[in-house]
Amino acid sequence: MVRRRTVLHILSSLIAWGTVGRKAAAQAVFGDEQTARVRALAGAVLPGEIGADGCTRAADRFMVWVRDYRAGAEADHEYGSSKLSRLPPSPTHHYAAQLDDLDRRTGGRRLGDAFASASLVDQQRAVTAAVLAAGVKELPARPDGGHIAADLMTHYFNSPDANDLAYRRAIGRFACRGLPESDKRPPVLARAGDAQ
Amino acid sequence: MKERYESDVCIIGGGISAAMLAWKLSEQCPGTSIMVVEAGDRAFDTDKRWVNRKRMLEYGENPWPGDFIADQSADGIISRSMVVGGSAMHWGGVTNRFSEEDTRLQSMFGLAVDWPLDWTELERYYCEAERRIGVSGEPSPLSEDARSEPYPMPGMPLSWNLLQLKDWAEKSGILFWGTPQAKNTRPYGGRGGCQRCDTCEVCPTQARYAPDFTFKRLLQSKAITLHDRTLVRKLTAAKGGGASPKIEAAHGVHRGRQDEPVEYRAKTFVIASGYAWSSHLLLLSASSRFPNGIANSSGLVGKYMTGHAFVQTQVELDADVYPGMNEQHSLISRQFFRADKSKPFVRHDLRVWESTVNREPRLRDDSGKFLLGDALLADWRARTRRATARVRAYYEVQPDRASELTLDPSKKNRHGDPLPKIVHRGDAPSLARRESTIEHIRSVFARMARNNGGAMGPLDIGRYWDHPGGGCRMGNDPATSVTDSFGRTHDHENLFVVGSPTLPTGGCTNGTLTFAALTLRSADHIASSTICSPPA
Repeated sequence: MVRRRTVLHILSSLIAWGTVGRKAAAQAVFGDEQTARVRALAGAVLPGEIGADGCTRAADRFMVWVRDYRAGAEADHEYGSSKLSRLPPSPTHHYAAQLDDLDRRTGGRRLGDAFASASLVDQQRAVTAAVLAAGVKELPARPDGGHIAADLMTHYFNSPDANDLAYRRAIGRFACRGLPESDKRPPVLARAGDAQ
Repeated sequence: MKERYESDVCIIGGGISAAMLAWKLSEQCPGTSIMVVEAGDRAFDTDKRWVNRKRMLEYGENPWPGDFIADQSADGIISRSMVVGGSAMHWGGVTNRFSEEDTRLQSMFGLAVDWPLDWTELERYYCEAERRIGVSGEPSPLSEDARSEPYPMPGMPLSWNLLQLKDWAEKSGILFWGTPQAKNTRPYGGRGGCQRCDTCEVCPTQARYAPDFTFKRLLQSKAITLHDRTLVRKLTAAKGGGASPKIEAAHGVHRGRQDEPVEYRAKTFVIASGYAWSSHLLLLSASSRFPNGIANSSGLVGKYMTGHAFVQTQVELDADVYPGMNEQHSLISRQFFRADKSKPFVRHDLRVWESTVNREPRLRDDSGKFLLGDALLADWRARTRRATARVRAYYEVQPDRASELTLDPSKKNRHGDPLPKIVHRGDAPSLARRESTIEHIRSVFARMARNNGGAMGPLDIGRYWDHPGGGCRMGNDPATSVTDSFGRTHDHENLFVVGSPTLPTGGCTNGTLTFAALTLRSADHIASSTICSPPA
């Protein structure tokens, strides 16, 4: 019975943390000001080919992803293993500090808009230094909190849209496309903006 | 207070074998009371699959929430799925057949044992399993793979990518074709056609067969009673009957009412609990009368656990391939199912998939330069000019007696039952030829990689035996097997084990269709010999 209570306590803590933590994280990191900063970051780390609107959409999708993240949710159990796991805490823990750090690295005296108003070269220099300082060496499989820039990049570049953009074809990965035409080469993207 | 239920047939386990068995018995013996008892929950909420799929893709969440029992695990198992429908709820739907060689290893090669049944007869049950499950397939071009009936549905069309990879792979002189799949290429069996969503582990459209569909239909027609969330912990035998009494009852507990034991009484009991939990239940049922467990006079319950080993690699090549078109579909060659008797024994299948390995976005280029934005995209695009194929071979290993499932007293569930521990081990001939087998497969991979400027990556040697089975192997001799060819235990005439546990050897390709075919064969026998007469 003790063991059962312990398990229930852990579960209820996880649920509570997931609910409260998710809301708090979203509010703390992605208020209006933060939204603008994340969009600015997207302009620095995503391909120019998708345009400013594309960067904004990608940034907004990333923020929705973060908002809807469920810490402690059951993770897909790996085939070939008996292990069970749960999603780790939300990756947002250091996002606010990381955005502030990017402002400082672009010479801003006032936190909030220095990065956004820097040149693309300076922005990318700052991001490179910050991501390296955070010890991020590869794009993670999914955003993991290593650095918000790497997380934003991985969220976009691992998307079906980015896959289409890289191949310049309307592959539509993970879209339910039906079987007809699957034996044909995917059609050429009419323009980069199609991959949004 | 103990709950007690009586039925003509009590099926313990709720996976694909249980679904096939219940379905067929309900047809052959209308009016027969069939009770299905499954430890896991029902996952019948098909409307949630779209959302679950989305969260799996975006977050890596379990697309089958709650499809496990936290304290019901085992060392050595390869899937935690415990749910109505079993592991076939999230299977890839690949429905390869074994071949005649699998049933005659002793006669043809002097290895392991022959299966106690005739290939021609088993082939008919393969056809039936394909009809019931709904298999789409492209017939093998090899005469040894002759079929007595066409596939129920045309094969899954090869995607553009697979067509390019087939063109490449066949330059090696090896024939490839599409794998048969439990996926509808047209509406079939009350389910719609495949929409190529590419997440077959959770098919949002139900075009990929899963046993929940069968169970729901059987429940709607009141052909069965299903008790989910009920863990059967022990079988007990009737008094009398000497060393071979009938099984009298199955004892379990409802997971939501832990203090209320449940007892099932039936004329016939069928264990359809898969490779791990079938042997486990028989061993757990040990008593002073049966100190080694139920159905275990041979001492072989939990022995000869089967499966197949595997080796894979990634081959980089020149081909016009666009990852993401149908990553779940693959090519197969059955050419190496036929072991050359004039050479050292080696048997394996051969599969090819599109792959994204080395074709993914990355943060640094080969020189270590950090990449952002346009630079990252440019680096990615440069690498899309080549393609990657994943190539894999499942190779035959025959199990040793010590390839076993035992009860692990150090790990117990909440009821105090020791949990299983599975250790796979090849027999002496399998161990002796392991290196030469891997070398042979390496040479086959290299032969394929010689074309289209191919470059073969390192070999990845599998860490486990896939598509496991065994533990209650079938045979004619009660001293060397647990069940007869129909799954009837030698020790108890009203106790059967069906599906994967009965395999004497594990073949060299996906096993689910074989588990289903054997179960359907058992169903015929159970119906005719114990429950009813089959319809004329």
